[in-house]
Amino acid sequence: MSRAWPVNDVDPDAPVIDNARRVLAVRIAEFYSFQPIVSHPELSEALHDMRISAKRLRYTLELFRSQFGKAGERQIERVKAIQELLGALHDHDVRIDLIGEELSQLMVEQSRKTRSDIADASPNELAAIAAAALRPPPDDPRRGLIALLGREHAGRRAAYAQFRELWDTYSGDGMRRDLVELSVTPLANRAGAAARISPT
Amino acid sequence: MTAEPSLTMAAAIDIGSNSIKMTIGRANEEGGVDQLEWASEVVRLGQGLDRTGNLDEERIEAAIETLARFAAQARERGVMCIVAVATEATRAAANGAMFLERVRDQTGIDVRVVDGQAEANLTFHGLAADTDLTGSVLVADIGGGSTELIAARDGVIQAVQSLPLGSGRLTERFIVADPPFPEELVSCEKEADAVIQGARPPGLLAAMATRLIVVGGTGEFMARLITADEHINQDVVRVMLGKLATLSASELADEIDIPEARARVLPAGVAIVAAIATRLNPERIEISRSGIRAGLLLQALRGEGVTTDNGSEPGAGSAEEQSPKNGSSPTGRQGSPELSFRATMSALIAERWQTVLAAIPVALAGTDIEGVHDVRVASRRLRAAMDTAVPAFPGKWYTPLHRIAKEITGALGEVRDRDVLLEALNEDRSAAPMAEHPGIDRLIDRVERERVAAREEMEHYLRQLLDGPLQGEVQRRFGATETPTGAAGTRAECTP
Repeated sequence: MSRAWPVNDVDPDAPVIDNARRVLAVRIAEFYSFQPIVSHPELSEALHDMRISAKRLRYTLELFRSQFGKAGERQIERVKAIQELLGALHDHDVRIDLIGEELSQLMVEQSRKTRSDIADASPNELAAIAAAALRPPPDDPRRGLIALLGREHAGRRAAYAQFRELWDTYSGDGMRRDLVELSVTPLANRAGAAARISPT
Repeated sequence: MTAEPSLTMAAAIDIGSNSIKMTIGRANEEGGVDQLEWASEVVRLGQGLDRTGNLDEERIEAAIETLARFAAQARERGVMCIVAVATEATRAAANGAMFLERVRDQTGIDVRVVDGQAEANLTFHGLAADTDLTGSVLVADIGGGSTELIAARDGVIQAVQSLPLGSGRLTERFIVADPPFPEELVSCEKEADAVIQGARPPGLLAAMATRLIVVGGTGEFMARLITADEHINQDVVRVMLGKLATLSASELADEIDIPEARARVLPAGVAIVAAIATRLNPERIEISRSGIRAGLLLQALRGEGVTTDNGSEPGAGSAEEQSPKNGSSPTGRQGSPELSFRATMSALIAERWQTVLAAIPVALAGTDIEGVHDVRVASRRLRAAMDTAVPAFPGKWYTPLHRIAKEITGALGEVRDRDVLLEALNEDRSAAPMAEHPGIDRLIDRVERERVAAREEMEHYLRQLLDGPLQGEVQRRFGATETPTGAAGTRAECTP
């Protein structure tokens, strides 16, 4: 898992909004550092790291949501949507790995059993053992695991396509620009920022 | 006869500009406090302060004598814990620190000076324990030397303002006659209005509160001037001022059974209420007996520490382990852009720890898989706050809880991942042909076995956490409270 980029210029005694913007700027830069891998669905690990980075960005926006106001809420929705699709992609990757492991394990067990059966068999039993090994019975667990693996791969492709479509849509809508604006625009100039008690 | 010493009792003492008051309370089974005994002495500690900048020697003597008497009374009642705070007069006086030192030497009471913010937090905390604070309210705690205004919405403080406006101060400046002339009361009200209007940030009253709740002595004694079922509005306050202009201090003292010295300053206090009510124009004016001592008792009986004016936490170990400056946790105020990053993060972290701690028992019960999910999500949010706040706190002070926050996420991750896996596998199985079931079942069996082992580890870890000092450490460092209104950062430490 990739580590969070450090935020070096936090001033604990400065108003929270100033620091919120500094933290947000770093989280935006960190998140967009993954942009080059967006078009590479095969890079499972990097896409997972991108998801973690999206999560950090979202949590930062949520952490300071009263400072970022309505504009921040819109960005939270966007980042959350991206993070969730990357999460679905990751879930498929986890299950694909798990099924693959189980399938390998099963094959090792079956192969070991076949070898043991053969070792103990009389010559006239060998043909039957070979036939059973080559034509598995209807309740052979491999059948379910292989079918499941197929569905997971199909699900992953669909999840990636959804993610890609959303990424392109948000990019076209200026998501990055909006995020950056949030990290630099003075609070007073932004509509819908944290409610402040107005003068009488 | 001296009562048996009790760990569930505490005495809260509030040293104000007019009076020194004590309330003795006992923790009840509902997590609240039953108030058992009250004592009050009009000492007028703030008398002459505006003129000289110092507490008067005679008033200091009177205050120490009163505190010694109160301490004896509390100990006789079996109280082992006395918490005492001093407000405006002591914090404004040049010789305030010397006064507190003499109090400590002569009475054994360790008095903390609280700033206006802390005073307001404590007051609100106490009020929230027995008052429905739904909707938009403005709480006014009118003291002898200062008035704390707290704007809150649905039980969460939105803004706090401490004004240099008190019944004693106004009396000294504007009231000579006894009974006061109506013109003198008008001057008090005008001055109060000018202070409110000129305060910064300038519009606490524009919070559009529909209810004004008056707490503290002024509120309590106002209540004695009306019938129990009388609805209070601005007209009632005006009539009250009119009546006060006809009663001498001794007559008023007799009528509502208060000391004459206290009766002398009450009209100015009511004038402050009138000024606030005129500006706010609330639908309702309410009065509550609750106040700073109720908040102090609640916190003392939960065993929390004190944050003083400079934010330091006395007696909390080595310098590096002490609360950082400005580390108070004004829960519910983190939305204010003017607050420092450190104060905001402290409040956020306190709240998030509470969410994590509250969710752990559900995860341990194991009856709902969402219980684990809830703790995990809460711990992630906590981590997000703690990761972000690293530069704001001393490492040695901060790291232990930061590390535990990370561990919690990890400890629950193994279980949660398997919960999610099992959900997906079972869903897939329900739609899969029968011939595929053996393979899917094999996988489900494996994940279930792993989940059982992961859950055992998780339970062990979480139980260890709950049984250990974690909750106390969270309280000590961030002043986390259990109520949404919170008074974190204004914690009380007992004088045994």
